[in-house]
Amino acid sequence: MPDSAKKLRFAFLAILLLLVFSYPLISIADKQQLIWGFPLLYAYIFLVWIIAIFLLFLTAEKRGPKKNNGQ
Amino acid sequence: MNNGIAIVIALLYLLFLFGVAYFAEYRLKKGKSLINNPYVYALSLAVYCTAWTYYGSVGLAASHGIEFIAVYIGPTIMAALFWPVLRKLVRICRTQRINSLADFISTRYGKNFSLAVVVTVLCVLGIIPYISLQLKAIATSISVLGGNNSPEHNLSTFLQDDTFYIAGVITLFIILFGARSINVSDKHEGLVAAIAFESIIKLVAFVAVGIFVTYGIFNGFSDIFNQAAENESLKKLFLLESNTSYTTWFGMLLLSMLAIVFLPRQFQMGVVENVNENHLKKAIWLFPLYLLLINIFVLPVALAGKLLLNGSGVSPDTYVLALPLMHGSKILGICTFIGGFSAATSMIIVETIALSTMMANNIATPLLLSTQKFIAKEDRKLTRSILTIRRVSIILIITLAFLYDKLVAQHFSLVSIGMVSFAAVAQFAPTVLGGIYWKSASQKGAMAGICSGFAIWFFTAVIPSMCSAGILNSDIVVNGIFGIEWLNPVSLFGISGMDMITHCFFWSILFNTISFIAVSLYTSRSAQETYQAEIFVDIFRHSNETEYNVAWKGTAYISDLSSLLSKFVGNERSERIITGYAQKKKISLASKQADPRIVAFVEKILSGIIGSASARIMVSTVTKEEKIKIDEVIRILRESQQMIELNKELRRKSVELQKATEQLTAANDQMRDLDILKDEFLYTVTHELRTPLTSIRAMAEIVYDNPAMEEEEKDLFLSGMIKETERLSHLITQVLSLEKYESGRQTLNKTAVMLNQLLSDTVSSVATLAKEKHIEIKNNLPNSMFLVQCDETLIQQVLYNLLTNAIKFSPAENAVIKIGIYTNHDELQVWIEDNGKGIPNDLHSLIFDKFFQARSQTIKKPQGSGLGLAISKKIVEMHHGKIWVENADVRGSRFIFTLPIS
Repeated sequence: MPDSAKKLRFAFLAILLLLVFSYPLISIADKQQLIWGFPLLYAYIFLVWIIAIFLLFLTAEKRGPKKNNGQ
Repeated sequence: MNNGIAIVIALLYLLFLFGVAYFAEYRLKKGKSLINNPYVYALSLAVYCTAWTYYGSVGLAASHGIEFIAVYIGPTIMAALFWPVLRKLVRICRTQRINSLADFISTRYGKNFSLAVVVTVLCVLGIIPYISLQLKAIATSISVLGGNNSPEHNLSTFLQDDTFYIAGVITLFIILFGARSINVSDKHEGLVAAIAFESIIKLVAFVAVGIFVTYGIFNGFSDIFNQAAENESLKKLFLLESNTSYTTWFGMLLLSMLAIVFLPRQFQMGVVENVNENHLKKAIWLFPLYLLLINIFVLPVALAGKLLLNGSGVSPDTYVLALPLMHGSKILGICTFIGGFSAATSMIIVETIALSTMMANNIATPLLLSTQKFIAKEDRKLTRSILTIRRVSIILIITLAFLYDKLVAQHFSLVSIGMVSFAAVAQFAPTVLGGIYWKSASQKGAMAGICSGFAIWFFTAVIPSMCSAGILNSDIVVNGIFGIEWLNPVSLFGISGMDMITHCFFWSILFNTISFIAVSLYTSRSAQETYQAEIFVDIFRHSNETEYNVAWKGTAYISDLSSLLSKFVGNERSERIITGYAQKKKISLASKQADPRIVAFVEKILSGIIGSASARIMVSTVTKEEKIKIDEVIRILRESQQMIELNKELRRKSVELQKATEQLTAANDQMRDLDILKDEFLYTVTHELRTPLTSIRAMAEIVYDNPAMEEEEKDLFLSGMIKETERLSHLITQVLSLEKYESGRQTLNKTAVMLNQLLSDTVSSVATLAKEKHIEIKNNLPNSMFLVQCDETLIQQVLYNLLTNAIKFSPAENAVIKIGIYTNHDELQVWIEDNGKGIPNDLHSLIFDKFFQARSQTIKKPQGSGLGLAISKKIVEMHHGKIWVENADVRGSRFIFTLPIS
């Protein structure tokens, strides 16, 4: 994967994460409600967080053609 | 338990930390670096989690609910930008040998001394309270563990103060592993290893408390949450809306996004101490994972504390420690204490290192060096002075933090201090980010941005804090300063509705960014700035080639440079460094005058040791630099650019060459294949020609040798000879026509042809042949016209070939041949179907090859030349059509060919 594609994927992820963690999207979960014994907002935040880490993992560790000059 | 035990534990822990750091340095000496490891790097970034995380998060969660988590989600979002942003910073710092944030900003903006001083002063102002917060946390945790609840805040008794001694030991540790000697490498191996180790300790300890509280005291998560849900005031903590505004939440996200890069300790660990850019790949997901793990139990512990300890006088900030202690788990209490202690010490250590490097390299050393007599001093004394400066800076910072803790910190709440520091370092964001992506960003712009940002920060964050602490008259936050309403520090220009931090962040960053951009656009840049801007923005392009051309002009002598360098690294090393570089860059050392590249290289090495501002002063003392003009810099840059372009061109050419070679090889292979095919063809043709020839000759010999042969018999032989001759000439005609089609010499004589008419004509021409073999030809031709542009003679030949083939392969009894035409989109399809024995599927594509029948051993030696289908295929392809064969519905095979209508 060329480095520019990787950079774009990361930029996309950053914007996406900022969106799902900000108003108005976060207000979807901001409700007084328990889900499987967890407050809805607590569950939402940690679930999205885990997914985010997984996406970061996939994007970061994806191997491209080996190039050592970092371009 | 009393405080004494807690202090002994803390000191023992510090002793152990010394051991870890020593071990790491010992391993490095043996050539097995501990910190050259992505996991250690990711863990070292977790220095982000301080005592504030450890104790303060629970405290904040107890009062404001889930809001605290924004400070950890921000860094997760930023982790996605580590690859584009942090990697660029790492690359710049490595190639430019930059070892602090102040150095970074000053180097980018033309190695400007005053900018470095401003950044350093502001960092110290913004961060000292934050360090003192850690000291306060240590003191509090010691007294909680010891059973007392309020640590004393009194300077007069500091000799009896526990934190005083602990701060002393920490200072010793920092000096030992951060400023033991002057070294060319700006990495602190032992220190990083210790910090990574501390990150593990604090995570394990906090999670242990979390599990103990959640599963030991309570019955799991849902138990805590259900109990809390029954309590009206605790229920509110589940929500953002009822505790804070979405604006505050968003502000905290952005602030922490910037903090994870621009806090001096994060810059130190993430950028300066990075040994390999690829370690970022692991850190990008491991660091957020660490943050997630350390935060899972925060809300449950806070709720548990509220449920169990509410009204008992225990401060929510100490719930983490108080909960295990109150439930009789002393051992876990001690573990928790160690965890919190490690969180505090790691922050103090790294932050102090970062700040002291800034102070020593950007303020103290340049001042010392600018007094000429110091440079003339003996070498040994110079290094010793520089070392002393560093150690004094370290002691000074810890002392300042200690004093702040004792004199001022008691007036503030824990949390606000941390956020105020975040807002302070966020002021570097426009300058640094602008500096690495925008070439026109200028030094004056940077200065304007940082100064205005900090002025607003001071006014909107520090003054309100002082008011609420009672140091200033709280009338200011009500009526504005001097009674001017629009100068109210918590609602500037009358805009209210934001909390103090968000308000401060918004206005300071707004003014900061606007003045940075505006001043950059409306002022000119110096030559040095232009050069540095080019290198910083295009670092990935320049990091290999940048040393070809250096923006330096003047006279310098190698011996001077070498002796300057030897003051810091010793005679032998300095020789080795310079000759090594000269060899690598193929610079001749024969002349006494030094190449500009060597001057720049020595300056770079020195700036790794004493910072760029000091290095510049040192180098200027032994060289005679001429002022370089801006157009010269531009010329130099253009030359570098051309060199890069040339390199690129070369690379492109070589790729093209490689491609051409590959094509040539492929063409060669194809030629060889064709050659083989030709040989094969020739062989088959001669073989096919010889068969009829042999039989003609045999028959002619029989007739010649037997003159007494009966007339009837003679006729038989003669007619056989005629038949064979016909076959021979037919074969030759076909070979010739095939050759004509293949070579492309056959031109198409296209006319409008009624295909159904042509088909029925052809059918009637073979009708007698069919009748002989009792074959019924079923003509399914519709009445409509099928008009197509084609060469009538050639297409008729195709039809004839296919029909005769069908007749040939028809069975002896009940033979039926069906033919038909239909329109399919933009083409006409003609099909001819027999009910013979059919063709195996795997031969479907092969039968159109030349002499296929002759080559195939499985099929009985057939009638015909074996060229009919090959010729038909050629003709159809010349008309841009297709021909293929498929199995008929019941038995036999169906030949189909298409002709495009237009």
